Amino acid sequence: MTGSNWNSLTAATAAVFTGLVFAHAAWHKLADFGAFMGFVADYQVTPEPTVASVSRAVDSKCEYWAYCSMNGIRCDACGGSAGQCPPGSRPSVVSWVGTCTNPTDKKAYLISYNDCCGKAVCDVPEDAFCSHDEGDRPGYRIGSYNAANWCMANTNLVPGCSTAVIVGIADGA
Amino acid sequence: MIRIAGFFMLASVLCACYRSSATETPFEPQHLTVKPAIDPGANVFTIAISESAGAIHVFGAADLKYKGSMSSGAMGQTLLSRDGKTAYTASLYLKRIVHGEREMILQIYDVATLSPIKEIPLPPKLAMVDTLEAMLAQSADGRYVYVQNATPATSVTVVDVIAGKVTGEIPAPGCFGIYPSLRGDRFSAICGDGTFVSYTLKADGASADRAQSKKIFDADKDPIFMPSARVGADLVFISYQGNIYRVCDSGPAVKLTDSYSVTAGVDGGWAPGGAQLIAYNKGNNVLFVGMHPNGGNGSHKQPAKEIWAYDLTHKTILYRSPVADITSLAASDARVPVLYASKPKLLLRFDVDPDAKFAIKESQQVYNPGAWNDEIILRP
Repeated sequence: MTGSNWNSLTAATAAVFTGLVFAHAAWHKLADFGAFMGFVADYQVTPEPTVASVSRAVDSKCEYWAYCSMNGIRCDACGGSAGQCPPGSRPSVVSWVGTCTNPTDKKAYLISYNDCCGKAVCDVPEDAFCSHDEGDRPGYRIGSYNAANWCMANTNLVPGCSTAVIVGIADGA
Repeated sequence: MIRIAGFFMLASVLCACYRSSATETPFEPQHLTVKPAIDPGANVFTIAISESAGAIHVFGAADLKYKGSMSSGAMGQTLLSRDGKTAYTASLYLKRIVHGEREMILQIYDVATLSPIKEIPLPPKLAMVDTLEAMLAQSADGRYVYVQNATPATSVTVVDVIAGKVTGEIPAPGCFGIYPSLRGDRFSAICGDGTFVSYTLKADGASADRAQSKKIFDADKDPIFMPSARVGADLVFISYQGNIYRVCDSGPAVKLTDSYSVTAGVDGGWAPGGAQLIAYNKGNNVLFVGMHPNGGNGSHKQPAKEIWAYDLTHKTILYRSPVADITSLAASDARVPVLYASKPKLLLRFDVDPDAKFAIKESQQVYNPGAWNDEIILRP
């Protein structure tokens, strides 16, 4: 085989490999998006017809609007979702509550930030840790305090990851 | 041929060495020992919190040389005695590390030998929160150690460390933090309605008399941070909006003595932020504050882009030193102070120049172990 043929084969292999990587990433993203869309629908964050578009507008990482006061490792990177603990863990029985505004309907919602308890801290990539502090107050307002272990009242005390559950509409919204 | 000659030369050298060693003192194997104590001198302690095992790391204040560590349980809080000779931690031990039967204990350490010397069981109510000086404190005479609880109902466990036992639990509903008075067995707490409540222990340490202050700050519009500075007889706090709240805790109830803005007239929306975000230099009555621009709702934990040296005597900004993402501060008391600071994974030392309006200049940085390391304590 000539040098020229070798170069062509190498280039072709690289192109196929890159294509496969991108295809896999795209499929993965679509699968994630499907799960997230289900979450948006489940919580009736927005009217049914707009679920897909709203979901698309929301970054599934820390930019998700309900993470506006998230101080912890998001469970959606740890085998669960924003509103679901990973298998084998237990939801915290107490939580703190923040207020976040949904950019789509401009309404303020009450968000219960529960930890998922009983597993080692989810050690996933750095972008899984969200450090958003809107409305956070020190411990003298303990119901608005995001720097605590909210597994504090559980039997299993270690917080593995954190969730953001939309539990109501804030007064005046 | 050269190789053969080299072989014979090497062999002759080895033989000579063997003959020589055979006639001299026999080989003495080394034995592993334990260094009996850390090197003397003032120390900088950094507190690494963890969901499994925590640590108190000890550095020399003069050179930031790492001296060793003391180990604690999970999600603990740390206290250093005023003379720096004794350390305390209140932390959690779970039977299966991440679940199982819980045990919360107060551990007492000898700093010189970095060794635990006593432990006292605590009620299993310890506040498991980010490290804060106000979560574990001692009475003026050192007899009592106060432990912050949150279940999330808030209370304070009182431990007589001389007798080695818990003497009582003081309910503190709606209030948080432990700020001991300079005299007597009294501590104050910050409350969510903007007041402070002071608790004066009764003689047996089992209960306390309670005295509530007038409203001092607005927890909705201008909440104060938990870290404080002891300035003379007063405690100084700073708020999210950059206001100083100076309170006196020498009486039965806390009183506001002064309040003013450190940011008034400054453009750029500068606001205080970080973890242990203020540090007081007693020698010059100067407060160092970690500041960030464009402050707003949720920015209060942003690391500092500038350290402001603020003159508490004349209520003026002396100097604004640019820094790179500092989260916590501690300052020495000297007339020519040293400022210590932390950011993720790093402990930094800044020289401070009183002749240059307290401008700071980084002189050293070292690796600071631990994933979460937001508290710095200085002791002689």
